[in-house]
Amino acid sequence: MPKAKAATVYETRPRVVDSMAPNGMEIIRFDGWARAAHWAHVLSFFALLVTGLAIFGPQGDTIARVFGGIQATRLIHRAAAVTFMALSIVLLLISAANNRFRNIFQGLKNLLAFDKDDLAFLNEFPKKFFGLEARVPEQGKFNGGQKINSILVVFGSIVLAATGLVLWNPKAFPIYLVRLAYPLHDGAMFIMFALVLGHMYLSLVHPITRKALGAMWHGRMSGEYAEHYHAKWYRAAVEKTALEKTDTAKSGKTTSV
Amino acid sequence: MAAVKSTAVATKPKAIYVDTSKCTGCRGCEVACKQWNSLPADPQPFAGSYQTKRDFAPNTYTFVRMNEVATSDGEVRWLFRKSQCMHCTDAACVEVCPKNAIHHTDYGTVYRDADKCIGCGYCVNNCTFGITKLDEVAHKATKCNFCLDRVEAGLEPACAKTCSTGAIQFGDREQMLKLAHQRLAALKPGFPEARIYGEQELGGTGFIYLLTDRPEKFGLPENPVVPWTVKIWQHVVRPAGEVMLGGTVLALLAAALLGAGKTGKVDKAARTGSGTGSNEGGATDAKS
Repeated sequence: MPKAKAATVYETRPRVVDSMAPNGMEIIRFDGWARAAHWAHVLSFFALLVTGLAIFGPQGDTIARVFGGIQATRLIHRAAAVTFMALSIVLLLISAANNRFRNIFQGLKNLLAFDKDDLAFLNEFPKKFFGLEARVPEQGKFNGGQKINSILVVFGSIVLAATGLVLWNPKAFPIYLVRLAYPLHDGAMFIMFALVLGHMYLSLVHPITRKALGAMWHGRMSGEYAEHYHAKWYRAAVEKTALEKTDTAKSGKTTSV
Repeated sequence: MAAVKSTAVATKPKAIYVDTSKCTGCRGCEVACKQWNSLPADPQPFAGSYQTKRDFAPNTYTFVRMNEVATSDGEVRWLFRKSQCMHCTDAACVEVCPKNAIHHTDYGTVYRDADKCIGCGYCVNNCTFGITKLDEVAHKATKCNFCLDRVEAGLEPACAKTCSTGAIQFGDREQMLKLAHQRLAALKPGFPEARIYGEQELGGTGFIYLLTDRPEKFGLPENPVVPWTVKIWQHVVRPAGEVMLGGTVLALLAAALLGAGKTGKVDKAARTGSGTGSNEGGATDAKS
């Protein structure tokens, strides 16, 4: 049986579940830990962004006043930074342990490896983005654009955290490293800021993609949506569930799926 | 203060000319600076040298560097240099300060406004000469302000006022450079390495030194520059980032306007586009 093959090709445990959706089944897209990590990052990232902008320029004084003065704002920036970094590490470990560490490298590979369909997606994305007609090839769990977003978020966060630690305690580092940290910290901030604006547009405003927001809220994506926009992943999920069904049926157990 | 400033006939660039050949290392300038700026003493442990002060501190804007240098004929010579903020024209601190707390004055000197300073330390970490220091309790960066209050009142800075040998002189920058060049011509026969420092360096500095030897013997860089990271940061990363952010906002607004009302159409198109493929895939899946 090609069971193992089907299960590992597309992401962690793609699974079809019963659903309250009007037209039937849904697919589990993000587990609880992934969602917890996402929303914890949302909160700490915006705390960091807003308090960081207060220090960024003279106009930031208005923001600083909201937080109780510039020194309080700087302190909150650091507290949020610790939260951001600690949560990243803790939730990554929990999530990995939850999957018995099997899927970390597979997950990373799925995230970082671009196939020709991902590239074709990027080529068509601008048209899609502005609501024009676009012919997009079938995508996996994450499409080319989502991969770019994830990569930039992961590396942007690492750059921001590393340079932030240097700027927090400049005396502990060689001066050239401290001086290099300033443009890197600001540059990564600009990229993350622009990304988060695009991300928010696609998840809250864009007429089609905003339908997928639920996946990050309750964890499930409608089968219909998955079939249209993540076809390769959808098929893997359906296939795996079908296999599991057959297995359970063979072993004589009742199935809840 | 403002009244005095506005009644000034014409504001000419000012400078302090420091003639190291006349400095005896008495450290009167250190005392005068502390006195005028109300800075408490920084007691230092004895470290086996006349050089008790080794670096600037939040309460130390100026100190005399005492360099012992061996000459080619086997003698030892003292090289004294009063060090403080150089008041650069190309000032890294002015560029990096996020709150515009550091700015050039009408006299061409670099003024640090303690009220605007938030103690972020950007100027501390990026100063070409490593002069600005951070008061971590008060959250303020500190450095020599060229006694701007005195200068605006028509007085000379405290260090120049107190100098007993005439090694520190204050006046119009033009005039100070003239004095420096006259002195250089007189010293050149006995001090072949003598030179003027601060005339061209960093676009011209508010402190002009007459050095009797090469700059590194006095603890000064031969070719001082604004760190390249400061230029990348201020002239590339920040403007490019702002343009990118503005472009993103415009693109999102355009997308929101264009994308509205096209929902059904695009959805359908995409549906027919991938529907067949997934059906075929589903069939294959069922078979296996």
